[in-house]
Amino acid sequence: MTRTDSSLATLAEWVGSVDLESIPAEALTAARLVVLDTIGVALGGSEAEEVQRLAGDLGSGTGPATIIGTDRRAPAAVAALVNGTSSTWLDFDSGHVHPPGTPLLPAGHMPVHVLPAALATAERVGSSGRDLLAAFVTGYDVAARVGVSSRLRIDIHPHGTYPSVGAAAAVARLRGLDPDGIAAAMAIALGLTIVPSFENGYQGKSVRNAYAGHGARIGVLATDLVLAGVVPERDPIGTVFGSIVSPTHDPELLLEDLGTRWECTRGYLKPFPSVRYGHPAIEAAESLRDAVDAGRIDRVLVETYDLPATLDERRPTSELGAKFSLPWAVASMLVRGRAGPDEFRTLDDEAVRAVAAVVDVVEDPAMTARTPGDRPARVTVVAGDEEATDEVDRSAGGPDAPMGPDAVTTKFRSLADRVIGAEAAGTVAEQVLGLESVDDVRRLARLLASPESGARGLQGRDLGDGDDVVG
Amino acid sequence: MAGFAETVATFAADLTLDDVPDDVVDRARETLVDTIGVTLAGMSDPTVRDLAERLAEDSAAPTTPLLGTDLAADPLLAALVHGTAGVWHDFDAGNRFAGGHPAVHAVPAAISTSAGRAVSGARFLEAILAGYEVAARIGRGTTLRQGMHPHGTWATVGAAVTSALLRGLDTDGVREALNASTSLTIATSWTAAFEGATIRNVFAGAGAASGVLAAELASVGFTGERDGVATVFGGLSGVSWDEETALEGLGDRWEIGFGYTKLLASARYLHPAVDAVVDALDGRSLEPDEIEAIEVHTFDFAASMTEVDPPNPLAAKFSLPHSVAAQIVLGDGGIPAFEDDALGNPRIRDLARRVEVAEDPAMTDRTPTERPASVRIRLRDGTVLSAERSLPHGDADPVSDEALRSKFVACATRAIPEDRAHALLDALWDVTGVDDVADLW
Repeated sequence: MTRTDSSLATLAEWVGSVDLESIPAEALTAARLVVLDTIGVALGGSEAEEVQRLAGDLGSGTGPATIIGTDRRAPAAVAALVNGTSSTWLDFDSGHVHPPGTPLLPAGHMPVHVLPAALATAERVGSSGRDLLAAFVTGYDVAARVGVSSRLRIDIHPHGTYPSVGAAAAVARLRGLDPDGIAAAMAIALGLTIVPSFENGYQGKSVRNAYAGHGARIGVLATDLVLAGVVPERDPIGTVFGSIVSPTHDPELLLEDLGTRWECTRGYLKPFPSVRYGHPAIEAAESLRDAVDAGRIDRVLVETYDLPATLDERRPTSELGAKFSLPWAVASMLVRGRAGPDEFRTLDDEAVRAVAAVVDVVEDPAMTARTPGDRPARVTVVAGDEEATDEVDRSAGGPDAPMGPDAVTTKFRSLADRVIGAEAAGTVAEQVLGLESVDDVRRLARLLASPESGARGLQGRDLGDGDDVVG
Repeated sequence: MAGFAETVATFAADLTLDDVPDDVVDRARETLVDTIGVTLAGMSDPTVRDLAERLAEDSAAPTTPLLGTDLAADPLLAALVHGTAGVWHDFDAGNRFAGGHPAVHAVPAAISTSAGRAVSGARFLEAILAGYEVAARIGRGTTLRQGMHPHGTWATVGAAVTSALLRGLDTDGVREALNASTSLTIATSWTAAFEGATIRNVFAGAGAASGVLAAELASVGFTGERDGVATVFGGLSGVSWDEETALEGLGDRWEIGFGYTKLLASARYLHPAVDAVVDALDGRSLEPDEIEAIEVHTFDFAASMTEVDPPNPLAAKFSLPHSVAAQIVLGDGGIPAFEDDALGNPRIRDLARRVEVAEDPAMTDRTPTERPASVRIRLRDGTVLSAERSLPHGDADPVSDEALRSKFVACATRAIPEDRAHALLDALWDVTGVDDVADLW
């Protein structure tokens, strides 16, 4: 069977043939850290009521796969859907930095697609930690390559688009498909790419959090479709990513340095649960938090490059909207000294609201000219006749200043302990950071359930019952 | 003024069959009958059957019966299977003005969402009609990006409306489901259809499933983009969005009345030419050897479908030479005319080489109001048989009850015994009298 395009076949052949020994230590380290980080943000996101209700509706008491942070289990496709959704909920998850020399585009978030699909599949087939890690690394890589070789239209949100092909590749590998089968699964996922609007983020509409879950689900189902005999299009990268969601595609970039440049080392882990390109400004605010008395602030000026300059909403009305608001994030840092999950979860802190209302966000064209090498931001706080300024060139957590195991573990524990308890969280962190030693991923995944979540008692509104049924 | 989403969500939530003209209810009922028939036909295909078995096994809560089988799946997977089955033979009802196939998205969503909810036949039909109308109107207002296939795009939004209504969501809930669904529509590629890649059939199934998912998300509290229709269809997968056209005559003009029913199991664009062949023959039966050549003139898109040796059944449905040749050799353009036996029939293959296709720019100018085609069958004895159609059969001239019923039975009996096919047909024919649609399957 040589139906698929040769580039796709090359990628699939590679996915099928890479073994753990041929992956450099640097890539394995990055992968283990981002797997732990992704599980952490999924646990954090699972606290959202919408996620618990979704799990309550779609999951059941049995099934091969764990719905993270709930008491529900499900088939792999359902677990991938809900876990992909919870892992994007906090906007705290890892993205991918495009290689130098390529235009600045919104980052693709491979882990929240690849991991939920791969983890649920590993539970389904009883994979080892080694299998899971290799599937994750290769799936991440091929998806990132489709992303960097395309020019996704700027109003399309990357979640649910090319990262899904990584989910499909990882699942197909874990289920033991041959290279032709892996290629077909990848082609099917590419062919079912959705067209998610970026605007949902700005409006704070939570369907945006379901894009990645949907993509992870498609990644799981792609193998089922292949095994049933559904035939994919021969070259969906060329059509879907070379014309429809992306006007152009560069086949050379797709395969450049395959097997020597490891895309999972080019990710960033987020220090703050909000839009990545707002982080330089939040870091600048962090260093100013003790410089002035927050109660006396008259005005805050945020100067930054073009992309974050659009995050100027002063009065966000939803959790997601607050994550897309630099005034909110900067004000939280100045008033509360933090910009963590809790700062975005509730929007009724009057002191934060008061400062957010006096934050101006403007583009500095000189800063825009310094992208993508730098991603600068300058924050100036004015209180009476006092003034303090700080400037950040690039935010932390990226490939040039990666978060180490301690920082990642601290972030993980801050999210995980409150959901699954400190003991289980400690065990999970230890096992994920030594994932190659895990014989059976199913035991690890079981630790991610939260017997007390009560999702079983939660369900959606139904049949005219307009009232909340949360009990 | 209320925006598009608010306006159509209110329309959908308020819709009752009592307020719908009888002829529109009849058209909705016929469209439902036809859609169930072609879905059953699709369920008999080995690939669809295999998929159904796999997904049934993988369902957490298999509440939705899979038509034509003893299997059941969860609502999302059932919508995936039914939508895929519904378009498998390219025999499903469409709408020329909308530019797509709203019914085969709304009906699977309705089957999935009605499972376990004791939905009456009247409510079932009402929700399908509402979803159809909303989808067809979005289709009217949308110009999709070049190279995209309509399945799984705006019709997904109709599926979301149908599903939200059957969940009992109020106007706000229907609106959120509608808004949420826009970003879950698919970036479909037409190339898949031309290649005969059956992923093209999954576009409809995945689109229907996205509609069900959007309603599920809305019901658990997710919110969707304000004006998502304008964003997605006016700039992402669509290149222009005309809200005024989409809303024109809402509540007075019923889009389902402009729908067509297929009597040929192939791409609609080819039907005027094949119908013209039937007209030209006027009941005469020809041996392929008698024919020197068949000249077909038609509008641009149909004239582009010139593959002489399509590699598989789906590709054959997008081949004018095959469609015309199979019609002449077999005397029929139903499902068998596009199956492997027909593809391997040397008489069809030979005659397909003598089908000469050309675009007539004047005919292209007459689209989409018309979809014209003319044929000249030149016989070796010098006789020329010719005919011209401005529209295919089943469009401006609706198919007869008899034709619809016999199409249903021919389709359904591929999956279920004849007595059950007739019983199901009779029940669907009077669907508004059904107490609980779960009893139908």
